[in-house]
Amino acid sequence: MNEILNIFTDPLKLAGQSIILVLIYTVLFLVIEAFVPKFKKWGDTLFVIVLVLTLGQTVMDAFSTMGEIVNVASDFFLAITPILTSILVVLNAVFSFIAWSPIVLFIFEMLMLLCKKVLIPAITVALILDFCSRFIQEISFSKASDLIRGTVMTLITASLLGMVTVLSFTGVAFFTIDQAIASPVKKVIEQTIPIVGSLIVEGFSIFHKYQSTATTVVGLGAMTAFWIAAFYPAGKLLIHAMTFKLLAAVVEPFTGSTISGLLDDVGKSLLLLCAVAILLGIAFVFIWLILIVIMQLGVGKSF
Amino acid sequence: MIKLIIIILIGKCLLLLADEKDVIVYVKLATLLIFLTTVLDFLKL
Repeated sequence: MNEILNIFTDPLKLAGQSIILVLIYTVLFLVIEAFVPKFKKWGDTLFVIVLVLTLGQTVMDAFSTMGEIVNVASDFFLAITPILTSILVVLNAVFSFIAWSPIVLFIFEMLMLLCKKVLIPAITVALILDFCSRFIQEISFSKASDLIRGTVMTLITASLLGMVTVLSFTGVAFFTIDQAIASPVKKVIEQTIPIVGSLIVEGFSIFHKYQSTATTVVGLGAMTAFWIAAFYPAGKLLIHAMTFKLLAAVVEPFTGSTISGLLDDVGKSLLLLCAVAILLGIAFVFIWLILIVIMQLGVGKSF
Repeated sequence: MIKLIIIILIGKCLLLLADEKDVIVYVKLATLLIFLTTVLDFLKL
């Protein structure tokens, strides 16, 4: 039981430790600055280096978590595809087979490729450019990193839109986007920072139609397990991102704009990483729902 | 990207040690050269 609890408490503990450490460093640097005014010139640079050394591990953890999710999801989709296709063929659901199978394969493979080759490297580059911009303020890469983040955001939005459109029943049949799907995408495009919240809240509404059926079939426990497995990594990344945002807010009055700006930029990049994880989580849950719904169709139940 | 980080670190050290505004021009030049070589590498040219 403790081990299960630790899975949920570890990210929070890490966040707490990071906040306390950064606060101690802030006090330390302020005290040194007060007694040795000449230290001010080197102070900011040293503070950035200390921050990178202290919080770098958290950022690396976030990226390794993301890499693991992509690998697991890739293996999962690869394993589930022949099963799903076989079920469709065995059940003689000709329409479903034609409509779903190639598109499902295409969408998920594209999603994996996009995450591995574009999204994660792009966020890494944005993070490095942010660091460079803050380290030497005369040489600013902030526009480049903003451009990269904006592009990644657009790609996530486009993937979400494409995936949901194709995978929803109406989408498969008629390729139309209903209001429930259109509104979150609109919000996502309009707002960049609260994107994660919007994705979570609105993204979940698209499952509403199939969730009740799926829950009756496999039980509440199994569905809860699917949900937790799908969105735990995203939650962990969200905690990391919010830690950086909180740190930026806390240290802003006591340090220069360089430090708080750097922390804020790292928070923004981690939020994007979290959005990618949510996207993969949605894909993971969706494939389970498809499996359950198709099995139900196979035994003659209509929706 | 590693080259970029290295040049930024060296540049910052030079800026702090030299205490002259002229140094920034050389750091910018070096950064631009690194950036260009990275882009050319990426495009396989």
